[in-house]
Amino acid sequence: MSIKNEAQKLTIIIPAYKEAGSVGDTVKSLINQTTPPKQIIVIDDCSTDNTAEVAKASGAKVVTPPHNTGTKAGAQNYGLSFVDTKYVMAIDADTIIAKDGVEKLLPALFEKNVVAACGSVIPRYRKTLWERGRYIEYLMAFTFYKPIQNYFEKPLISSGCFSVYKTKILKKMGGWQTRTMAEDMDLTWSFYHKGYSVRFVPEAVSYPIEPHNFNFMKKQLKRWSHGFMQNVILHGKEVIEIPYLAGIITVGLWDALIASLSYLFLAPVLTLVFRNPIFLLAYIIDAPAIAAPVLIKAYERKEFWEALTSIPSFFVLRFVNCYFILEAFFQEIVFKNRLTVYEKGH
Amino acid sequence: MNAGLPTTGIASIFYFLSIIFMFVNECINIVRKKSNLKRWRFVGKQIFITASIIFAIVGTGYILKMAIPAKEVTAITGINTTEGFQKNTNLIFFTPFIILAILIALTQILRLFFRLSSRYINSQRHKSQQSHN
Repeated sequence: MSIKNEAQKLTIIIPAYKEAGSVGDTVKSLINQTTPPKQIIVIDDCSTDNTAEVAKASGAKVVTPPHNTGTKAGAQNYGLSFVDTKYVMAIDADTIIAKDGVEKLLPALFEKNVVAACGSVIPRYRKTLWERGRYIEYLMAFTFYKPIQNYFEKPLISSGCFSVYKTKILKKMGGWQTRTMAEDMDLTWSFYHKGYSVRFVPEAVSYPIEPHNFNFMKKQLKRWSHGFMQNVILHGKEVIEIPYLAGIITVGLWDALIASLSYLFLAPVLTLVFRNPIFLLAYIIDAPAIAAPVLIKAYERKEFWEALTSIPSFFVLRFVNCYFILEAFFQEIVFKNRLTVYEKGH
Repeated sequence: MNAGLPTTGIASIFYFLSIIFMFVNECINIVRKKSNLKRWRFVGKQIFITASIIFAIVGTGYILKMAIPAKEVTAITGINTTEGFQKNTNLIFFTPFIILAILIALTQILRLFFRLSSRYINSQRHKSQQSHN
C-alpha cells in the first residue's frame, strides 16, 4: 500500500471558532505535508472574527453550519457530513503538524481492526508557567505511559487535537458524541466497547497552543476532569470488561483521587498537626522520578535544558490539577451535578 | 499519568508491572517466533526508562535518609530504635504495592459483579419472554 496514494483518500477536518489568529498556520502545516491530504475542510462554527477568510486564504475549503453548534464535537460532526474519503483526520485549529505527521500516522490504519490512531503532542509555545507545566506532563505521558498502553493495544485516549479515523466506522458510530465534555475519550472507549482497536504513533508529532494563563488553563482542566468523570459514569460498565483498559482507568482514577486528597489536604494537615515542614516534601519528593523519563525524551529532542528548567512548573500544574479532579469527582459522581456548558480553553 | 490526571506514583507501579509483563510476553513470543527486533527495541527502551525512574526513586530515598536527621523522624513517629525505623521504612515501601493490589482486586470484583448482574438481567428477560410466549 503506497502512503502517497492512501493520503489521497484522506480528508482533514478542522473545527474552528474564533481562531483567526491560528487557523492559517494549521492549514499551511497540512498543505506542506510530505504526503498532502486530498482535502482540508475548516468548519467555521459561526465565528465572530475572520476565521473563515483566513482559512480560505490559506487554501482550505470552508463550511459553516446554519448556527453555532456550541461544541467542538458538534462542529466536527457537521464537517464529517462533507467527508466522502476512506480516512478522516481531526485536527484542532490551534495545532500544527510536523511535516511528516500524516505520513507517520496514516499507516497505523492499514491494520484491519484499527479504526483510529493518534500521535504525540508537544506544546508549541513553552514560555509561561502553565505552558511549561503542560510540556512536562506531555513529555512524561507520551514517553512513559502511552507507549506502554499502546503495547497492550489500549491507549487511554485518541487525542482530539490530532487523530485519524476510518470514515465508514466513524460514521457508523454516529461521529463524535456531545454527551460528555471529552468527546475524544468517549469515542475511543466506544471503539473499544465495539471491539475495534486504536493505536498511538509516537513518531507522528503535533504542536498545539496550550493555555498560556490560569484563566484559560482553568477552563481546559475543568472540561477535561469533568469529561473524564462523565466518561467513567457513561462507560464504566463496558470498560470494566476490557482487561487492560479497566486497569488503566481504575488505577488512574483512584490514584488521581488519592493524589488530590494527599496534596490538597493530607500534606498541609500533617504539617500543621506535627508543626513540621518535613511533610511539605511530599509535593516535590518525586521530582527525580518525574525528571528521569522527561529528560531522556527531552535529550532526544535536543530540549534538555528547556525541560530541566520547566520541571518546577509541573508541580504547580499538578497542584492545580488536583483541585479540578476532586471538584469534578464531587460534582459529577457524588452530587450528580453534570457540567454541560462547553467553554473553550483558549 | 495522563495530562490533567495527578498521580502519587501508584499508577507508575501499575506500569512497572506492565513492563515486566511486556518482557515476559516478548520472551514467550521468541519461542512462538512472533517477536522481532523492532518490538525488542521498544521493550528495551521502556525497560531503560523504568530503570532510570527506579534509580531516581532509590537515589531520592538514599539522599533523604542522609538529609533528614534521625531526631526529626523520632519526633514525628515516636520511634527511636533501629528496628522501628526499619519497620517504618518497610511500611512506606510496601504501602503503594498494597494499595495497587487492593485496586486491582476491586476491579476484578467489579468485573465479576457486572458480569453476574448482566447474566441475571438476561435470564430474567429470557424468563419474561418465555412467559409472554
